[in-house]
Amino acid sequence: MDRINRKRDRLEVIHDILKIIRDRNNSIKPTPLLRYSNLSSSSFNEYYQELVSKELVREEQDKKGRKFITLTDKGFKFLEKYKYILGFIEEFEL
Amino acid sequence: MAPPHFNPQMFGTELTYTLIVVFLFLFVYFKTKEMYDLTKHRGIHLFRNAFLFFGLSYATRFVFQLVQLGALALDYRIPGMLLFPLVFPITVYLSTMAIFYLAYSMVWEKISHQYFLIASNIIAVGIAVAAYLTNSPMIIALVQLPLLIFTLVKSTKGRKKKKSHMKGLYFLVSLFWLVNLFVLTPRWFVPFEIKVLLQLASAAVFIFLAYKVLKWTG
Repeated sequence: MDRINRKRDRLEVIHDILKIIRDRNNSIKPTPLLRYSNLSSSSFNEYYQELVSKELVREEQDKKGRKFITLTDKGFKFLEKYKYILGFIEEFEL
Repeated sequence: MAPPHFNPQMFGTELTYTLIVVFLFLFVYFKTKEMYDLTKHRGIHLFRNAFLFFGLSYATRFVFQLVQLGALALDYRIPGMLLFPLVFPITVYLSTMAIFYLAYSMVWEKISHQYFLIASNIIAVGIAVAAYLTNSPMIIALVQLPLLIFTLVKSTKGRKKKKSHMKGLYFLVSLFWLVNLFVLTPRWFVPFEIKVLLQLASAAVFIFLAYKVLKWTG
C-alpha cells in the first residue's frame, strides 16, 4: 500500500526503469518503457537522459532502424547492488 | 616542571595510531566509491568527502606533531617555526570541513548545496585564520566543539528517516577528533597511558564504522 501511495524517490525510479528493461530480455522500445515506468513524458525524458549520461543504459538500433534500449554492465551492476545501496543510505542516514 | 623532551615511545604510538586511522578513513572513502559511481547520490558523496577530509586531517595533524616532536628532538627551531603556522591552519580547515560534510550529508535535501559550500568554507577559513593567529590547538578545539554540537543538533532536527544509531557514531567520530586536537598534542600534559586509552577507544569507534561500511559494500 505504502509503495503505491507514496512518491517514489529518485533512486527507486531509476531502479524501476532499469528493472523493466532487464525483465523484458534487456531490450525494450522507448514508448513501452515510458508506459511501464508510470512517469509523465517530461519526467521520463529527464530520467532517461540521466540514465544515458550515467551510462546505465544505451540506445541500440536494429537492422530496420528501430530504436531499442538496453542495460549496460553498469546498469546490471546497479540492479545487483540496489538493495545494498538502499541499506547503506538508510543505515548512514544519507 | 621539566621541559618537554622527545619520547620515541610516544612518537611510535602516534605514528601507528595515525596510520591506522588514516587507513580506516581512506578505506571508508574508497569502499564507497563504487556505490557513488553507480548512483551519484549526493548524500554518499558528502559522506565520502567527510571521511576523506577526516583522513587528511589526521595525516596533517601527524605532520604538525612531527614538526613539534622534531623541534624537541633535533632542536631545529627555525624550520619548525616556519612549518607550524602553515600546517596547523590546514589541519584546522580540513577538520572543520569534515565536520560540516558529515552534518550536511544528513540534511543535504533541505539545504542548497551552493549555500552549504559558501557558508562552510567561510567558517572553515575563518577558523583556520584563527588557528594561524593563535597557534593553539586548545582554543581551536574549543571553537570546533560548539560548532560540532550546533551542526549535529541542527542536522537531527525534523528528520523523518528511520532512526538509527549513526548520529551517535558521527558525534563520536567528530568528538574524538576534538579530543585528539585538544589532548593528544605533545605540549598538552596528559599521562601517556591516558593518551593510549583514548587512542584505543577512538580506534575502536573507527573500526566499528569501517565494519558498518564493509557490511553494505562487501
